[in-house]
Amino acid sequence: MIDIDAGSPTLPPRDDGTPPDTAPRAWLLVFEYDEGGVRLVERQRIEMLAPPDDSELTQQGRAGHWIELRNSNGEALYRQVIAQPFRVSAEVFSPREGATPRRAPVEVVEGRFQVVVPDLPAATDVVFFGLGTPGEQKARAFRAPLGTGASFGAEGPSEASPLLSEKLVPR
Amino acid sequence: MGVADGAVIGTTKIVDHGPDSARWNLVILAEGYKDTEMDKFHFAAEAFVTKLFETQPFRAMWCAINVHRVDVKSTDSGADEPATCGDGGTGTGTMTRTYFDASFCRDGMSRLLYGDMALAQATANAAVPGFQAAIVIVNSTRYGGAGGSVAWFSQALAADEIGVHELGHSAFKLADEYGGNDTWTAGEPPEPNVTTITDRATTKWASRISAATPLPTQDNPGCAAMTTAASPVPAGTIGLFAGGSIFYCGIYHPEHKCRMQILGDPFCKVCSDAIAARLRQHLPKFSGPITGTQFQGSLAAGETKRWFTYNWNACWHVLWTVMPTAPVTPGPALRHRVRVERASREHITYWISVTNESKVAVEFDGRYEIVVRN
Repeated sequence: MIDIDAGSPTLPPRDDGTPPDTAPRAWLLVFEYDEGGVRLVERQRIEMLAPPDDSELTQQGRAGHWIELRNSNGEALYRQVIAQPFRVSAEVFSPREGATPRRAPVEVVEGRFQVVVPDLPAATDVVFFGLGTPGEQKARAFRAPLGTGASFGAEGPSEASPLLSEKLVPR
Repeated sequence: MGVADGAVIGTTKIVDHGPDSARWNLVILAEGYKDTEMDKFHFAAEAFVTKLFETQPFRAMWCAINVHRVDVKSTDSGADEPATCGDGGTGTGTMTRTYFDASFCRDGMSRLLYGDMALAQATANAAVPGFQAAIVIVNSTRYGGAGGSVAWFSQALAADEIGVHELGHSAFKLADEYGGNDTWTAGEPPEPNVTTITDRATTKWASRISAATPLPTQDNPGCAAMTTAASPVPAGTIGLFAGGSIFYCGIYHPEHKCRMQILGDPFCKVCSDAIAARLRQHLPKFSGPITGTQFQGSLAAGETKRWFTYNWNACWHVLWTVMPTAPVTPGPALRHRVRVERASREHITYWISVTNESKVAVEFDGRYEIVVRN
């Protein structure tokens, strides 16, 4: 059979280069933390699709961390779960095949994490929920040697509470 | 040590499935590569992209993903390797001048490898503001890595698994599925892959659990280590297996094994679904159809020829037809068959065989219709 080269796609131009009107608007929020607490240190409006609303997850489970956007009446408009925002322990990996990682305490609890949330017209406040300050979390996580009956919830909160509440747009 | 020991050379979009604002963006940063070693970094970045492409559910959601490679040069190669470490490990004692100042033996752990997390995050933001995930590949053949807001791993064999596992945390909100402390007695966690609820009707992934699967499926009575017992149910069975969020018991994960517990294993179904759910919104939306003529041909009576056309975006859904243009042929004239070749991760080659079943020569157009385009 004869094979004939028909070339690569020759398509009409995608567009005139103008950004689409529907580009998703979002806030990039950068948080800084140390043992004593967490602070919102940067806010930037960006064009980015934010993660979907996690309200279903936070209604099911409240022993964790999440960001909440609220309107001026204090009503939640959007929630986003954040897994392990505070680096109170480090995950240590082994090159051995099939090995499970393990957690070790870090020497200094401080760092940054960032969250992208949708730019909702009615949102006025951002609230960060967590299970105590990073310092408290580190103390709980590594307060006793393994095998001594140490448990997490007995001495710590059973569900998250607001650790930070800020205006989304500073006055 | 730090930014004075290198510079950001530039950013290259190495997987481009459309506008960054609509896609899930992974940023890959170089650490400990000298200017003359950038080809080595490019190879490592490409290898990680290939690994991600070969990992489900990323493969199924591939068209949702953009990948950006940030070339960062350093004065020296590699990372710091302190001669002695708090855990008893040893290193070469080499100290390097690198942009992100990565070092082994962080926090006294030989295999813990990371550098300036805030600088890595800021560098990734400069490339793609609001990026969804970032990893740093460190130019060292010694095994190591770390998680956090940015994931780090070396070029040692299988160290890239650290990067995939850490994406599970940072980008997809997944919890660890292994222990470390004794008993979790806090409330229900919000992460999608761990639960404290053992009630069949209300546990987090209840709809995925068969009525025949016992709950809890595997408990951990000793509660001082992850159980080494074999799974009581066939592999792939979704249930409630003790251990998660670095606690041995009082909390459960969905399958006996998962990448969030053992590096190199596949993601379990619940984790896979959670990842896919976050990627799905980044898939290209319907934007077609776009139609056109890719080739024109002519066939003698009874003749068959085959055309091939290449570099078609693998994320597009393309339909082909042939349209007789001359002469007018009463009755059926042309028959065509399309064969499809995945020529690369990103591109498709179509092979279109056309047969003239009429008794006269026929000219025709080879036409495409793109139903979905980025």
